[in-house]
Amino acid sequence: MRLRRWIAGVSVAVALHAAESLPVPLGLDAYVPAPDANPLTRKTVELGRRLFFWPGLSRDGTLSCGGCHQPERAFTDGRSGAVGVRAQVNARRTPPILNRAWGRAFFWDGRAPTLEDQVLQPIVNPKEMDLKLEEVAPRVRAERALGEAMRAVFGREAETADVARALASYVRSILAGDSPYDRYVAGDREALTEPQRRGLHLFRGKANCVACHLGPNLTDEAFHNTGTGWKDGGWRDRGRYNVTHDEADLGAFKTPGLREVARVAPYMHDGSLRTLDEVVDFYDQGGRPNPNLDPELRKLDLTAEDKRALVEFLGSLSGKVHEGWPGSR
Amino acid sequence: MFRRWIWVCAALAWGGEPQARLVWDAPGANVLGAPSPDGDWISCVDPATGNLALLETATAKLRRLTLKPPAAAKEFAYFSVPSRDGRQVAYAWFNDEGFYDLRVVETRAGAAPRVLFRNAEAGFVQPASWTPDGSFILTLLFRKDNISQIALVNAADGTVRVLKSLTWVYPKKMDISPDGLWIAYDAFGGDRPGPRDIFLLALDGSRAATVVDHPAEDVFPVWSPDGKEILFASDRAGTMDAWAVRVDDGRPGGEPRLVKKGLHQFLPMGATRAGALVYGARTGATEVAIASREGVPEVLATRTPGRNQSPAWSRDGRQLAYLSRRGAENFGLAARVIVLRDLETGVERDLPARLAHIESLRWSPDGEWLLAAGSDGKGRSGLFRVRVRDGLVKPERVVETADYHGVPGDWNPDGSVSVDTGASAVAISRTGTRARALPDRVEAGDRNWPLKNTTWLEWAGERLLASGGGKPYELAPAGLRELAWKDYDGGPFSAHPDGKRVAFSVGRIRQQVWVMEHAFASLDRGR
Repeated sequence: MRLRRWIAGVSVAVALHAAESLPVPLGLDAYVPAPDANPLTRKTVELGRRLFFWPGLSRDGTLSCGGCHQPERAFTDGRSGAVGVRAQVNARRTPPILNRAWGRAFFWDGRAPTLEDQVLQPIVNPKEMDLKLEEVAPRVRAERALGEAMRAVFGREAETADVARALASYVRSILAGDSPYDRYVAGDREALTEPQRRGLHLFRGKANCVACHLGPNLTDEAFHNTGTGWKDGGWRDRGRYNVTHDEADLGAFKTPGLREVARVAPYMHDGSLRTLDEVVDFYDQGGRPNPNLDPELRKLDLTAEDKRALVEFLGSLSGKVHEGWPGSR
Repeated sequence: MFRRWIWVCAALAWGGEPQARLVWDAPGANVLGAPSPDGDWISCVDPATGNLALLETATAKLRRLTLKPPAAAKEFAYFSVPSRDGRQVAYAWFNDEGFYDLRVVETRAGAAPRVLFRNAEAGFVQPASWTPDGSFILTLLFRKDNISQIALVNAADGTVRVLKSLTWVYPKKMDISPDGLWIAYDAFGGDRPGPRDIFLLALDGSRAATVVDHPAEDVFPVWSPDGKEILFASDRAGTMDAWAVRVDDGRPGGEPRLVKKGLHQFLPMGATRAGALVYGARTGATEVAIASREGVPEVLATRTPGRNQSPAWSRDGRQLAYLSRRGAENFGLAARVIVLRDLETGVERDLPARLAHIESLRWSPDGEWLLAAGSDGKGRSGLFRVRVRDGLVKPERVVETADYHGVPGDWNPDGSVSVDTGASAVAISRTGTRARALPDRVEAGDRNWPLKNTTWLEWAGERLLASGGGKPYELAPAGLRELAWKDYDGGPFSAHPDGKRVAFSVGRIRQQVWVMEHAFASLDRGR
């Protein structure tokens, strides 16, 4: 019996230490999803990191993924519209990419089903990095150090799909957690201030934020019409409808996660709201009326104190942002 | 031991489906625990006291493991699971603050429980399985923000490692493989609610896999003692049956095989070291019936007999809405469908309301809406409006502190809704007289009646009816009068607008615990 228990104990220990898992901050799942065809490894993550900050993936060599997804701004850029090569301004803002390993659809309209698909689209978008798909692999191969690194990781000359795998792996390693909110949820009753606790209560109750912002990443990964795509009696941006052509999706955009939300202004898909106060006011009014407004939105009758508490609580969602594989550099 | 040997021999000699024997069929029998490794006992809740107890499988006698002090009357034990050496039991305990904490107690007599994990933010815990070395307890956490989490709780210090977060609809069962490498659990196959499949998750969080992927409902995975098979419940053959699939290094080793057919509403609770499967079963039925206030009820002939309840009469008396439980799996939050019945023609139709749980219904004065107490697909609880025309759901009042049953409420004559979270039941008459149930009495206007445990109130004209302690009463000016509703199940009921007839549900659902010896084919091959 003792031998059997010892063997079982060793089995557990081996299981817990045999495979190298990406460390995650407090508040996130230990299991970080990745497709079977692109397992998350230290090597792919670090290779992806080099590609992510390499401007050679843009037509004129001036813009990398990191040019818009800036680590010091929680991987956004502070602009209301993303700016591509040749100073082209896009209609939608740079989306937050924190904790996207758990994402189920990507871009504001969810047009990319996987991160491997998503990471190539800004590269080939003429208004963003403007490289042709067939130019991606040759560019990487031509950059000697990168080409060698690709060979070392994938065992062959760089291919476009491998570039996507590496970039997607790096994006999966961009993790945000260990915030006062996470510590509170883990049982530290002092981790939130009194106004923040009151804001959390409102967030889950009267303000109805949890209708869409829930879970470890504070998003339902679904699409909702809050009215931001509707202006002056018409659709300014049809959002998810452009992907599905389902009228139920008119003006719907993906719920963004709220990690580090106090650091990633401006807000909404078009950056039309400059501050969290404006965001809270927007929802207090029940969003913007339009023919397809989400039924969850209604006037909230928040008091000024309620609004301050909500903004205070949203501030508690800022913690630590990790990127790359710890200990690799 | 001898008894078990006899069962194994009998099953081998018979050579067909494994046979099962009933071990617990008493009132209050529950399926909240799991068997000891030797199968001599099953952890459970003592129905009489709410304490954690052990059920001796040979005699069906209970031995209490916890002793609630008198001051802890509202506290009780819930889900439990023994350690793999049978020396400890991990269990959920509804505590003095009104949420569940995780506790551990040794099985020796007189052992004191210890609180391992207590966090109001994860206020529902369900211990599911121990690691082979007893270091960790696989536990389901249900958080205030309406998500469930698969977590490992350190059995020594209570620290938590969350492996995977799921939606608010949590796994029905999770089990750690005997080698300690994998967790088997059931969950929705896709992003949206639907039939469940069986999944594996590496204990260190490094890998995940699908082991049963089928359009049918596949639930309640239990590992075989040798770790070569997972037994589960599935309705793929039309009835809820026991199936098993071989597993090799986290991958399915072929098609699932049928273990035993026709187990109906059953819940695998765990396996013994010798290969017996302990499982729960539900028996009985509930039906909607109509009676005069004192008469013998006439059971409605419905399209889906067996699990119908909570009727609500429309204000014109022409339609009856009721809840019908569907699907093969019936434990926990199974889907309750709203059925609308035209009482003149007998024609019924389902109302496709996207609610996760519905406890009761009340029809609006204008006949266009139903007021449903319960919870929605985002795990929010309270009261919801359901449009009769098409099933559109609108939250009427979300109450953060409410559980999935929702909160009491009723329509005012002007079509607005009154909610009373301080009462256990409310009812508003057609003229606006409001009745509410408090722990020790029912109030209506300036009158009150001493009735405890009131769960439902209903006006029949100007007469007030109540369900208290599972029995029906008329709350007349002269006092309480118990009504003679034959086989009334104690649930929500509804009065016809004429005040002379009532619709209520009749019947009872009971739970039993069974043992199926010799349930795993992989063990047979090893013998």
